[in-house]
Amino acid sequence: MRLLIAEDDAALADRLRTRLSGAGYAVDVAADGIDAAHLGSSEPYDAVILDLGLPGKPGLSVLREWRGAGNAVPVLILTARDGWSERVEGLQAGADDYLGKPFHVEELLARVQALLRRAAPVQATELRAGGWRLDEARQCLIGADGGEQPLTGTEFRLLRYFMRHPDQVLSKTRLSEHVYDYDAERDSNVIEVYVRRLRALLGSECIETRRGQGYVFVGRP
Amino acid sequence: MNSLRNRLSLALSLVLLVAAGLLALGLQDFPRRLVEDYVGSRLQHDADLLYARVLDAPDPDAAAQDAAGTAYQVPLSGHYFVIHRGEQVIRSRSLWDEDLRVELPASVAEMAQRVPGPAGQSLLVFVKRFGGEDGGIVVAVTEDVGGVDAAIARFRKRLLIGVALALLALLALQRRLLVRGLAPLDKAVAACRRIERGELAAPDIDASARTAPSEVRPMLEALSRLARHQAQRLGRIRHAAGNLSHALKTPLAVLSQAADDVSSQGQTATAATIRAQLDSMRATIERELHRARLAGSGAPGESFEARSQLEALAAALQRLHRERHVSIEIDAPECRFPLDREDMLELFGNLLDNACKWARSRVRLSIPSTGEVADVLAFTVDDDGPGAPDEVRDRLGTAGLRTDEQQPGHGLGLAIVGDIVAQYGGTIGYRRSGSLGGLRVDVKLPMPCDAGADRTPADQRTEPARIRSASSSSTCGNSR
Repeated sequence: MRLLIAEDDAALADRLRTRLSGAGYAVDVAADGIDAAHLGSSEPYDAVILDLGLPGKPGLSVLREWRGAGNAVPVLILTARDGWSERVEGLQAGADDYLGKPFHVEELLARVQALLRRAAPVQATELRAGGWRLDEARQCLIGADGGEQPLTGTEFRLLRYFMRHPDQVLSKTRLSEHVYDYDAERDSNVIEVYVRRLRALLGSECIETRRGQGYVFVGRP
Repeated sequence: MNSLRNRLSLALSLVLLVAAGLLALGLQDFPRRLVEDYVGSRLQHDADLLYARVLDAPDPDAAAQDAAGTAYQVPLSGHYFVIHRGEQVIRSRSLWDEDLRVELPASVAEMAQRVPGPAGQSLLVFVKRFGGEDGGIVVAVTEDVGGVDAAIARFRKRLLIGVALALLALLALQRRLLVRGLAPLDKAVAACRRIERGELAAPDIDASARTAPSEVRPMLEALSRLARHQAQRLGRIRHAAGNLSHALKTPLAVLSQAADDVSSQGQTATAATIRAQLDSMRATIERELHRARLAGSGAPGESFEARSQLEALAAALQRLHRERHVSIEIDAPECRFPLDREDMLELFGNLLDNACKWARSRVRLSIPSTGEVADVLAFTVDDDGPGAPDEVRDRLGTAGLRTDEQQPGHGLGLAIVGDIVAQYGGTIGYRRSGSLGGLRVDVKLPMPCDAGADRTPADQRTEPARIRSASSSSTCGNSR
């Protein structure tokens, strides 16, 4: 799952990036409205955290631009301007959620997770596969007997994306776009390596290979 | 009597009345004098003629009868003469031996008088004493002016009726002219009211000022400038509050995350202290900035269109509380209240948000029709949540009270609601909801104006529905 943070305060943006990366998201940061508008419309983000007071171009204009172009990416507005008239305006412009500053990071994480869940094809709060349950908070797999199987960050991100989008052909490019942030070095061979590891964990029938197209995660084992 | 229109009307009416009175009085005497002068000069002429004939005539009687015309020979014609020459008295034939009670001047003089004549005639008598060695000659000549008197009386009556009618017409006309002439003032007052209610945008104000007469225009222009200035100032304050809020809250968010870092490094006590201080700072900033942003009842900015704006708000709230599947019913009249839009959104937003947090499935906002006199905006917010126990209910609206720490929020919503209600001089009450079983909030906000105004009739209200289309609306509540 890949997020865009549009926030002009560098200190806050850095901390948010650290926290959200730690929570298993690929995170890009845009420090002004023009960058944010461009990134949001060119990169396939799963959700955007948008500050309204952006330099260059106000957050609301950025949001309206995206919605006008048919970009339905889930948007959470994170702003210090949290009067109700501003909230109504923001939600009318097409935002999906609104959070006033200052905020508790846990609340932001919960809301981002809710946004991603609602936007994905699978909206269940618990993700299960091959007798395992994915614990999103602790980024590990939990077996039926309660045993834990730790996952690396990339494994977790990849598996979560598979589980939210089961029974779809997912190309390696698409997978790497949603698993890595903009600055990461993307190598589609690396995806192959991680898919192999996930197969070893969950069973090889879990992820099918479609030659020349990509992978399909089989939802029902 | 403090109305300009009535004052002018009264003064003009008095002037008209006095003028008509003077006219009627002046015209009363004029025809009588005219007739008397005219008849008198003829009689004088006859008297002079009679005197000339009688003076040296051997038979004065015959001479006099000859000299006078036929009118003096027809009996009771009204034309009579009596000549006193020493002891001799010559009467005209027409007098038919009647006597005339004429006062004779003692010395040489002439005089006109009125005496009653024979057969009920009203006679104008001209008497003249001519000097002479034998005591002189007194000639009295008369003419019946009874007919003329009757004509004069008729003329006077008509004159009075005419003047009275003209006076009435003039009074009606002046009233009409005044009403029409002062109509721009009414328009100006209406424009002022609309400026006050925030219904008139700046270009409209300018347009109505341009069409106003030059006496009223400076006032409208000044008012329009004032309204614009006020709106700008409110906008500046709100903008400044927004900037300040932005500038303070982002660093607070950073600090709050730094506290998380400190906590993860094991210094939980330090982190707790930092968090407590941060929370207190945030609460103060939040509350004070909200208070600074309130327009208050004195000078509303944009007015509050109840239904469309509440529906937008409900749609936004349903989006925010999507996970909870709460339905929000809005039962509001389709009209405009002269209350500040942002303040009202803040008030309703916080109340509905609070209701949504606690409700199981339903929230209802109801603005009942207040009938003819809408000097107050009264509404209730009901939810079907657990309600509040009595001891908590009394403390609702206290800043920082969070009855459920599991619920997100800062415990400021109802405190802000309390601030807004206090700013508008209204009342707020919390009790158990009879219809939905949860908490009911009763709010009454007085309108910033006196009685009597246009209101949306009750039949334009529709049944409660979750989503209604917004449309144009009339003014609700009254206006100055």
